Amino acid sequence: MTAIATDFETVIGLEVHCQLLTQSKMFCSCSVDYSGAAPNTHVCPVCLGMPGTLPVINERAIEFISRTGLALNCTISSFSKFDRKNYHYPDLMKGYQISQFDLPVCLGGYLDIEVDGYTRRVGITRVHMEEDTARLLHRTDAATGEGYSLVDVNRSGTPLMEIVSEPDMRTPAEAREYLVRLRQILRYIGVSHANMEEGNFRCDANISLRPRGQAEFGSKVEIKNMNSFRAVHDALVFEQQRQAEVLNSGGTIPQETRGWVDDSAITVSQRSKEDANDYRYFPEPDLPPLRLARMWVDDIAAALPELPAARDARLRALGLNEHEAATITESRGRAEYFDRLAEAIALGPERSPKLAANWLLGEVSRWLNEHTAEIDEFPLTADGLAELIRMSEDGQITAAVAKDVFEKMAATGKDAATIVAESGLAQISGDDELTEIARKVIAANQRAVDDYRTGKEAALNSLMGQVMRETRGRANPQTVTSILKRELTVK
Amino acid sequence: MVGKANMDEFAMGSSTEHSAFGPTHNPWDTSLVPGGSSGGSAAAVSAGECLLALGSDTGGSIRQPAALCGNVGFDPTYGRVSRFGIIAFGSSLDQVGPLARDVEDAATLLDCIAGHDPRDSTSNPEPMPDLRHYLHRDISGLRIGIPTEYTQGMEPAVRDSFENAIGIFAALGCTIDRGLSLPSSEHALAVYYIIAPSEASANLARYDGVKYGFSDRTGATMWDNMEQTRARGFGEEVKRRIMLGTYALSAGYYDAFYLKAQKVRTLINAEFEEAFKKCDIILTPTTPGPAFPLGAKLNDPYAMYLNDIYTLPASVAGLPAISVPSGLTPEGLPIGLQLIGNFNDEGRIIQTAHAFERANGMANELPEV
Ligand SMILES: [Zn+2]
Repeated sequence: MTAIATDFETVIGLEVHCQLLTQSKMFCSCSVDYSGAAPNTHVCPVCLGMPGTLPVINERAIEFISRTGLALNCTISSFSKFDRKNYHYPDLMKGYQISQFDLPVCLGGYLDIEVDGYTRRVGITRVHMEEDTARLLHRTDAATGEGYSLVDVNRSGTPLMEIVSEPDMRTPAEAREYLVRLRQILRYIGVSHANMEEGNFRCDANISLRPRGQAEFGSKVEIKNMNSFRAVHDALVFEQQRQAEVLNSGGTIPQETRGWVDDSAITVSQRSKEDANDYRYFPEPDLPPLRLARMWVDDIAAALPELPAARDARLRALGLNEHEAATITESRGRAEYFDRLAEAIALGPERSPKLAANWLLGEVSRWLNEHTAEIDEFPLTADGLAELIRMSEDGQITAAVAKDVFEKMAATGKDAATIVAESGLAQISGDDELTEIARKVIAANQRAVDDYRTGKEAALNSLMGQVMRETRGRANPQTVTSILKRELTVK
Repeated sequence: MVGKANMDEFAMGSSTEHSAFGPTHNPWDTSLVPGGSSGGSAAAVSAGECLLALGSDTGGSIRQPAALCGNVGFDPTYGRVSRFGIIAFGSSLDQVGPLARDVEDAATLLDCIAGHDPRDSTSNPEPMPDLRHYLHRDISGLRIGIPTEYTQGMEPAVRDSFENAIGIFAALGCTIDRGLSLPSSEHALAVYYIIAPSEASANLARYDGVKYGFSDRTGATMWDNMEQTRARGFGEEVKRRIMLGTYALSAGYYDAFYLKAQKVRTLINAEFEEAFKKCDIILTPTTPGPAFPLGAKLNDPYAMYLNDIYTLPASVAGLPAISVPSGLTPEGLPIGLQLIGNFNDEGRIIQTAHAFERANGMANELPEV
């Protein structure tokens, strides 16, 4: 039998759970700042699910989810409600999770992603509000070897937002790009740390295959347990391959939930459709429906920062290349620093953006990497750095000295002019002074002089280096080059 | 505080027989039930053990035992008294209210416990008027509606007492409308026995033995322990209602049961809204009959549920309703009269009930214990 492999199209949809950066939990006043805290220290009767307690909605969380919806081009529902999602698990303190079923806060948006030069619009089905569960810590009794579990309730009740995409992605690379862009937006609008490794950004993927050209979807598999963008990508690649093999060998794909096993890089079946929970959603009677006033939503929309896509387009229009624009807009902090820097440099629209980009992606990035710091921890103000850049541009100091001054500014907090004045780093451009030094260097380096005169142009660099050493880098390189050439030919 | 009163487990019952502490007896005749679920509170007031007691009313659990024990029991507008701290049964129905020997005491206690609570998001933001202000007031001209539908299972003694009460209101100068129609009210029982158990099935999910309370740890797995904890920890009536609620919310049944019940609930509300355009107070008996013998209805849940047939509609609608003693059966057992008012109209209920109490002359009547 000759099997002709069918050309399959992959269909991917993602569900992202994301913890919000509120001060307090979703339905009680406990602080969500429990990272690193001892277990069960950020708890109260409400998030412990004690009898007699009642939830009160955290307004800030509703503001954050509305902001998210607006940034993802969703409609913000003027009327939504909370529902109870019922299931038993030891990490679920009330025996139900307060979530949103049929009337979520945000509906029908989209996110544009760019992969390999093409743009894909990924639909956002909905964004809804819910609460996180407690955390189970699995232990083994050293004496008996028996396993047991402990419950840390600190996480219970943390505001959690679920962002559900349409099945609009067609490759694992698109799925990863979607996550990258989504994370970027969530960080831009300041609603979440969106850090997958820290567990405050979690992703489940739905994937199915269908013969290319077929309209109806194949049966989908849900993949869980992916703890990084790479894991999401690899799990989807694996699953795409596995499903194609099953289908090509005449098999069928059962609708099921599979878990990604990172160590062995495979997915394994966890639960079939028949075993799926019936969550018995019903309206949460302890909370009134959520009515969001048009004006309240409009205010949030007006306060949204410029989003990555718009920024990226604007920076490219300023003359930055694709790589520069993308790198600068990666984080909102960097992008805003860029804007401030370009403005402060004030050397005109031709030069300022390019200079700001060069410095930001050069010296500033290097400094941040060396100090494993974020841009908001960078000690130089945009105005201070701009002053240095201007001094370098108008020839007061050389490029080499500018780098040195940059370091000193970062280390001491002094401004550029002060450092230059204090350490006598001002550029030497005077012909007489430089000619004298050049002659001294020529006299002391006969070998290089000979090399140059026999046609080895590279020897000039060695002489140049000597002059720079003599002047501690303050010499204007162009002037030195012409003086050296002149002096070497004169003799 | 004198003590904690007995009640049906998780407030589920109409006779205070479903209690881990054993049944409560009716002080008027100790072979009879005191009603329920707040039967312990009603019995304590009626036995003179205390002046005032608190009860919780989900479908009649204050008013019905008040009627059966000859007390005044007041279930205020949903949201008047904070539910924070109350062990939840049917969250959209639960209300706390007073049981007392007379209307004045009930009004005084409700004044103390009512008010907005930011910890309860369903708490009523309207300030409660000073209820004592409504005592000793004239009620002439008050429009009283008698719904034609509230007749199911009504015993003759109750009917006689009810007619007598209507006569008293007429004599006090009220206008009586005997043609008031609340046709959807007869579905209140069905609505209640879908919504309350549905909410209860979730509210009681937290009692899984993992965190607190009774915990069976003899099973081989965590799931075995949870199952055994719930199987052994809960009483029969509670498990019956958890099953009812779980069923009503299950995939494939939700639309036919829970959703439909919510729709009928809306209809019931709308009918009450219409009714209160025509009258100020709706008058019904509190229960179809007086206290019944212990054990008489234990094996017939439906017969037990029918005890609340007159109190359920106001609960489902979230309306305030009071039960005041209206008379005694020929055997000397108390009978209750229910006055249902419009939302937040507790003042008028107190005014009307107090006028009736004085005219009827049956306040502070205690059994010989
Ligand atoms: Zn808490």
